[in-house]
Amino acid sequence: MTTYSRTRAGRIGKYIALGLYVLFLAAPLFWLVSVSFKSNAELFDLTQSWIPRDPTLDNFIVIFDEFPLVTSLLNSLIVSTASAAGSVLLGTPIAYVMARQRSLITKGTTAWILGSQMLPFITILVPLFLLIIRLGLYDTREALILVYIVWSLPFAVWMLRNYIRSIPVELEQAAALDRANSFQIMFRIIGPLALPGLIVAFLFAFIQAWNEFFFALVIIKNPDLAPLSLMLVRFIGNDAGVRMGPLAAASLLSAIPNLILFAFLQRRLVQGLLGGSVRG
Amino acid sequence: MTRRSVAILTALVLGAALVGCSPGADNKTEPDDIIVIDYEAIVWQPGAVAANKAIVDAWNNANPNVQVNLIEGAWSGMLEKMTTGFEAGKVPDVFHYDAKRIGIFAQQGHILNLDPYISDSQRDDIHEGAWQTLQFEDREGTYGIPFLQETDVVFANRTILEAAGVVLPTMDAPWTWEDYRQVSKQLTVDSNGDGTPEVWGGGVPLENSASRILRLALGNDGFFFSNDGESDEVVFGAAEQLVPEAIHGMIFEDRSVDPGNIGFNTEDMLPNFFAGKTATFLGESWVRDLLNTGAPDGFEWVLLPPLFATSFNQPSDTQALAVTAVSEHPEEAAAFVSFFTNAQNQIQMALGDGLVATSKEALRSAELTTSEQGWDIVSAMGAYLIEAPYQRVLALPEWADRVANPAFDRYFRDQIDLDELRRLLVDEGNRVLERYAG
Repeated sequence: MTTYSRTRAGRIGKYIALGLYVLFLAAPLFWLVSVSFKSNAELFDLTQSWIPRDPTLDNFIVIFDEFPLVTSLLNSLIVSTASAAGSVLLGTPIAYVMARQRSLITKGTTAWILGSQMLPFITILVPLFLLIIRLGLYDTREALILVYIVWSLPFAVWMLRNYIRSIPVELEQAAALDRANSFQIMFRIIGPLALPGLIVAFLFAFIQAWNEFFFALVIIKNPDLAPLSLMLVRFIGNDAGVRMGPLAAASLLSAIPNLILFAFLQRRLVQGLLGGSVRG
Repeated sequence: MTRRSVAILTALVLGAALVGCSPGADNKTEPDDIIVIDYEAIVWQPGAVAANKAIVDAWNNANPNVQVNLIEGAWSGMLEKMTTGFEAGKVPDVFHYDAKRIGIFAQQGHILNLDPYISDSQRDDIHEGAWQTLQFEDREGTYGIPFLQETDVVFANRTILEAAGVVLPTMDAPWTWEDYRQVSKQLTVDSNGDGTPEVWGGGVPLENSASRILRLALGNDGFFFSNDGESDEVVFGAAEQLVPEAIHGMIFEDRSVDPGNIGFNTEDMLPNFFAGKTATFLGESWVRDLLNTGAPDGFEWVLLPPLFATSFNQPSDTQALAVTAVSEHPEEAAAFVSFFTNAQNQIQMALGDGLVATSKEALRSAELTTSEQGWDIVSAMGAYLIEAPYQRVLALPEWADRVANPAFDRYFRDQIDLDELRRLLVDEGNRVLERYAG
């Protein structure tokens, strides 16, 4: 076999393998789309098909009719965006110091980050709730934003620290020689170079906040402030009863903002995920 | 990414942060002379959601000085939410939950005793078995007002039964377990004799086998637990073994029940039922809403009475409204609870959820005694829903999860025989119970 054929055959094989892997990952999403357009009668049909035999918009009508879907979606967007932004804004300077300085404080911060990830959140739910109430933040979006920032900050710092480490310190030294101050170095040198890492940290914090359920369940009482995660569970009853069609439709709609965000930022996401993996 | 894109993104993010920190969307404040009661409901079926809202609206219209703020919650996470809320003192004034869990909170002192607020007429109107689910030996009082209960019935494909000439049972002439085995065998069709019938005559969802068996066994006085005054003990005698033995026989001797039922809950039975591959199955009365919305055109189903052993008795698994002990308006909250659970409103909630009302007056109403959808049978079961001895056993959840479910699963897969099942349930079970004694 010639090198040309081996390479071509290898490329075809790789694409086939990748395609199968993508199908495997995307299959649940395809199924979600399929179920959201199926009637109850078709959902209970013994023979299921990927493509609805009799597509219907009834499930979407139900979720808009019976539930404050738009309000919940907006609440989720607001809380997730604000908390992700907060994590990145607070996490970046912390990560910068941890990346560039070695001291007891940075070592202690590292230990705090690792230790905090080992703690199951359920152990802090009650004391956190008490704290939220005492701060007068019960039943507010601010409480959720605050909790989510604190919850995702360790990961954001850890991720950004490694990313910033991959940026040559010589660039900062050169900027300092040109009389740039710390802020200028941070925003005009580090910032643009660390942008992919910032985007990854933002996305992870966003998704974590978007999917979070228990804190929202406990902190939010007013249905006008409830995020999507609280609305979706209302399709599930006791005794394993589920309103499958509307749940699928609502889940599909709730996934769309994340999909748009990922599509918009995907190139930077890849750069951010790979960055920091190799030093120098 | 261009600078312009970064600028736009940053603006959006800051905008979100500002909006997020703005006051909540609904910051209504009521005038000082209006009492507001928070009521958290965990209804999920569309009919029940609508009925719940209508009842709250009716109260609010009739009581302008005592307004109820309806919070629509969900079954998922309710236990964690209320547990956390009780610890912090931040719970609704009134909440809807099942009696078992209300009981847990009552034992912890979080629930108001409603005895001083329940009228004599309402006390007499609600079945005693339902009241007992909210009364506890070591604590005087009644810790909620029960308004809905569940019952197990038999669902059948009317077309298949009529074609086979099967006479439908009634509450006066019900099927026994032996009758059900005979009928299931008769309805089972295996035309090519390969051991995989085209039609299974019977069906028993066994995903949560312990719960199912305990419920069904009560009709044969199978209590599974005895108490000598000091501690609970597991028993597995003739009364207890009737039901598991019958189901085992249907799966392995009669071959009239699909062994796959072991992994099925009630909802999982429906695709085969609608396809005509299962002629009958045991299920809960709330499934009727799914039968109505999910059945193919022309499919005719019928609700039949539960199987009769020595009685129709089934455990009373009630849903109730309770008032939290920290409520600042206990009288008003209790008044709302009494209103919500009155006979007329119970009719609406029962119809919405497909469950059994607890009120005798509601159970006698025209809406709940019609033969349509089998309401006459479902409501007749109201008199047979009693408190089962096992409902008082503290160790029940652990016994069910760690001992009974695995043991029954193995028995229904024919991996162990009846003697081994008895040994596991009793010997292993009593070890679990010992840890709860004293």
